[in-house]
Amino acid sequence: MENKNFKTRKISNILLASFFLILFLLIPQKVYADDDGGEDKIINGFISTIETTNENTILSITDNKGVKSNIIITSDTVLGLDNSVGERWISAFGNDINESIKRLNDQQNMLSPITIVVHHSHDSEDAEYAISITTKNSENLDTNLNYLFIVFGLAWLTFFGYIIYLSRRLSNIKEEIKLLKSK
Amino acid sequence: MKITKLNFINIFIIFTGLIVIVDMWMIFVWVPTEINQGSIQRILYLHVPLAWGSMAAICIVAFSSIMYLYKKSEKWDRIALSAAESGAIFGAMMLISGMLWARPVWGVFWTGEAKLTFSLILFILFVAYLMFRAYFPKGIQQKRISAVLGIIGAIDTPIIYFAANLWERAHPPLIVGPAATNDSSISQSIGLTLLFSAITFTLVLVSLISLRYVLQKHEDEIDLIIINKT
Repeated sequence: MENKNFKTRKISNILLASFFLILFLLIPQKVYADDDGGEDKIINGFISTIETTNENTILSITDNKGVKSNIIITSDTVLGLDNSVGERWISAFGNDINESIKRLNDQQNMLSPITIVVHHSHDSEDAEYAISITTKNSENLDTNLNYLFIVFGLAWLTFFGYIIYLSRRLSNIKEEIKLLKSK
Repeated sequence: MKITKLNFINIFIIFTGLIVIVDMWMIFVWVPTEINQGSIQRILYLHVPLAWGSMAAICIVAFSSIMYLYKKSEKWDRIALSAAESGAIFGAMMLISGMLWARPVWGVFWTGEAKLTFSLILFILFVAYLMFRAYFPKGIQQKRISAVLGIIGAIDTPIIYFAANLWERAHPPLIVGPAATNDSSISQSIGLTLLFSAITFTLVLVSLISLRYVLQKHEDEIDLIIINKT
């Protein structure tokens, strides 16, 4: 009897171990089966073009290094876009495609810096899909004022300097002409 | 009192100076701050008119060069030279202002895209024209070759204008002119300030060309006196 119990316990332990082993091996397989092996990344930049075809809408983004990326917008892409007075409009792209494209066009025309969370798929198409597109809040606007004053200061200094240089040269030449004529 | 040509130019320069003050008031006080770029966007009220001015200058150089080759009048050669010198200043300032706007907005001073490259080529053309005028021996040959250089240089203008549409990259699309996209729109106050700045810098360009023209005329006069005396 004890021997039988021992055998049963042994089989139960083996079965339990086998269950955990199968579970251990199966769960990760299930996770990877849902994933296409892709990865998410963030792109900051400006919208260069918005191209709408029969199949999908492709957004062309130029980042701060001037590198252009083409990103596919899906109906699930979440948009959070500010208008010119800072009001944010939030919607999924598929909810109202026309309004979404209009809002994206506004972002392009306003030169708004935008942030896109992109899912890079490693499947056969090797495409990039937008998970979310949001207007990037402008940062450190006040610290950029030095560029503004350098540009205007330099421009007017150059123009006034050139006018003064021409005027002086003109008065010198006039004197030279007088001198040559008198000789 | 008789108003001479130089007096008229002086009055015109003073008038331009007053317009410049109004323009600066519009740029720094009147026009509201753009929401995305902040105050740095005000550089565009200088950059866009400077770009327009440099392209207008090369067109003046080309037109005057054609007229010089056709009419053989010294007047047209002087206008071409004056426009080239003023255009070089406008071109240099256009590049510097564009780079200083791009640094905080794009994160880089320069990208090798078409519009920027062709704008740099325009500035190099102005410099090449002026260097040729400075180093080539004076005479009809110098004026004729520089006229041809000026005409060839103007080919760059339409390329710069259409570059943003032909090779779309980071540079903002066109908002003014025949190639402007239909869906592009700017607010009324920004558009008005941009227009006023364009007019102001056109007056600045005309003032510089006029002053340089008078100077060149006097320089030619000296050359003539020296030739007559020798």
